[in-house]
Amino acid sequence: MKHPYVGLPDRQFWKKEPGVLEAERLDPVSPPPFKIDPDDRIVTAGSCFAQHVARFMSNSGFNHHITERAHPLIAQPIASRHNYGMFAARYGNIYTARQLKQLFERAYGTFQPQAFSWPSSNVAGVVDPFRPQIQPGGYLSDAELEADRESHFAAIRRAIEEMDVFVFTLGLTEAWVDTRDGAVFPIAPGVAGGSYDPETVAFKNFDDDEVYADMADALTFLREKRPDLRIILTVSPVPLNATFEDRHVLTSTVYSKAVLRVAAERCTKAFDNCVYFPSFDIITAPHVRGRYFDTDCREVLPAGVEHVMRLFLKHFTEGADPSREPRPSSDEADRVEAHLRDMQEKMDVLCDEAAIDNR
Amino acid sequence: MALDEHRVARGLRRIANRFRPKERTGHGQVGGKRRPLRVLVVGHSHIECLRAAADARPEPSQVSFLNLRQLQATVDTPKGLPAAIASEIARVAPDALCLCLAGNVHNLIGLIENPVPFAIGAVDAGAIPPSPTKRHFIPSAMMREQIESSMSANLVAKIFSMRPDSTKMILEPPPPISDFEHVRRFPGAFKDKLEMGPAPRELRLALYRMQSDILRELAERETATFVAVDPESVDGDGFLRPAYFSRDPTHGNAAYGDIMLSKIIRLTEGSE
Repeated sequence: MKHPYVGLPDRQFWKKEPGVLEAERLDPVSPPPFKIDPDDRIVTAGSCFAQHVARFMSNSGFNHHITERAHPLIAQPIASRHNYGMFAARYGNIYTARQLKQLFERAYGTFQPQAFSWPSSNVAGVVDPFRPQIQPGGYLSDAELEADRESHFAAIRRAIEEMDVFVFTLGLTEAWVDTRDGAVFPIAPGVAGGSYDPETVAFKNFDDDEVYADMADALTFLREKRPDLRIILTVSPVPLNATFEDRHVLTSTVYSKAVLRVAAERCTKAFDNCVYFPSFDIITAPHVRGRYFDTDCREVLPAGVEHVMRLFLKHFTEGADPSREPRPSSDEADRVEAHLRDMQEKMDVLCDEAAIDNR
Repeated sequence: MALDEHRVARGLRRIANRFRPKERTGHGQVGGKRRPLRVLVVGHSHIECLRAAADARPEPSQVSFLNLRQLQATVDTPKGLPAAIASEIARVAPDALCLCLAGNVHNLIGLIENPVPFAIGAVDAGAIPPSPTKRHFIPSAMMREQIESSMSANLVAKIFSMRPDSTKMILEPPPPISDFEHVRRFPGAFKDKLEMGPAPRELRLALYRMQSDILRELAERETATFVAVDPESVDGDGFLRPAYFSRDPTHGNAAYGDIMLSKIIRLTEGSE
C-alpha cells in the first residue's frame, strides 16, 4: 500500500535508530550543508555547555579562534584560572540571546549600559557586571576595568571580523535586566558582585518570539561583517540551576529549553548556512537513559560530551580523526617563552656573579 | 635520585667554613655570660651585598649567610634543598632568621622590554603604561598571581618552621635601577639583550611594588617583620639611588647592604 512515508530515510523512523539498542550508536544529526576545514577560524560562545564545545575545539586540532589571549609570560594554569583561552575573548558564559546581541552592540560602541561596574562581593575593588566572574580577584578600580574592557572589546571585534564559523550554544531564557536601559546581566546582581535593587533590576523570562528576534538581530549583525559565515546553533542540555518563576525548576527548565529549541529552529529556516546541532537531543535522549548526567542530574558527564563531539567531528569534517592534536602555540608565544627562558638563564648567571663580586 | 649525604655534608662544611661568623659578640646568655644574638640571612643573590657589608666591617660579625643557589649546587635534587637548609640552620642555631628569596622576579619580567610589550592594571591610571590597546594588557590580579607563583612562599614557610622560636624577618629586595646607561655599562650576562631596550620606567616600578606588596603580605602571614628598603637608598621616584648601584643591572652594592644589615641587626636586638 502506498503512503507518504514509503521510501523515507531510516533516520526518520524511531525503531530504525541503532541507538535504541546501543545508545552509543545514536546519531540524530542530519547531513549539514557545509563542512569545517582545519584552517577555518571557529568562534564559540554560549552557556555552560559551550565550554565543553570550546575545550573540544581547542584540543582536537580545530582552529579555535582565540583573539584575547593572556600575555605569554603568564603561566598557562594562571591564564586559565583567569578565563583566558576558553572562548575567543574573555566574555565568559553568554546565557541569553539578548546578552549575545548586546555584547556585539557594546563591543562596537552602539550600546553603552549605565551599569559600569559592581562592587566586588569578596575583595576590594570592582567586577564587570557583564562578566562578574571573569577576573578572580576583581579589578582594582573602574579605571582598570575600563582598560581591560577596551582590550576585550577590541578582541571581540577582531573575532567577529575574522571568523569563518560561529558555534553558539543557547542556554537560558531567564535573565535579570537593568530597568533603566534594558541591559541584560548574566547573573543576578548580588550573586557574584553588586547588590540586588528591585528599583533598578527586574526579572525577565524571554519567550520564543523575543529569543528569535534577538538571535536574528545578532546573526544579521554577524553576517553583515562576515557574509560567508557558517553558523551552528545548539541548545545546552544542562538544566537550570534555579528558576525565579514560582514553579518547579524542572518545569522552568523544560519551558526554557523548548523556547530555545524553537528559536534555534526558526533561525535555521531564516538564515542560509545556519544549522542546528542536536547536543541537547543526544544528552537528553531516552536512548541513553539518563546515563550522560552526573549524580546531581545536571552536570553532563565526559561520556556524553564525547558522544556529542564525536558526532560533530563525523558530520562537520572530512576524514574525521578524533585523535587530532591541539594546534601548536603561536610564534608570539614562542618568542616570549624563549625571551623569558633566556632572561632566567642570564639572571641565574648574574646572581651567581653577585656572590663572587659585590664590592 | 637519593640524596648523597656525604656530598651534602661536604658542601655544607665548605659553605660553613667560608661564612662562619668571625667571632661572636652580643647579648644572649651562655653559662651566665652574654652571648651574641646570631642572625642567619637566607636567600638568593640580594643577600650578597649584605655579606659584602658584613665582611667589610671591622668588628666580628654576628651574621651568617646562606645563599640557596650555592647550596642547591651541593645537593642532587631540588628536594634535597630543605634538608640541607635545615642542617645549616641547626648548625648556626640563629636567634633571628632573615629571608630574601627570589628578589629579582620583577627584574626578570621588567628589566628588558618584552618581545610583546605589555601594560599592567593600575588603580588610577587604568594601565601602566597607559594606552593598553598599544601594549598587551595584563590585569593586575593576574600579574600579581604570576609574580606570587615565583616567590617561593612555601619554602619561606618551611624555612621559618625550622627555627620557630627565632625572630623572623623578610627582607625587601632593593628597588630597580632606573638608569639604563648604568645597565649598558655593566650589562653582565644581559649584554645581548640590550638592543631590546628597557621596559618603561613606570612599569618597572609597578612590578617592583607589586612584588614588595606580596612579600609584605607574606611577612604578615608568617608573623615576620617586613624589613623595608631604607628611604635613604631610594630616589624621589622610588628607584635605587646611584650611590647604591652594584656593578651589574639589578643588585645593590656593599654600601646598600650596610644600611640593610644595620636594620636587620637593630631589629634582632630589639632596638628598632
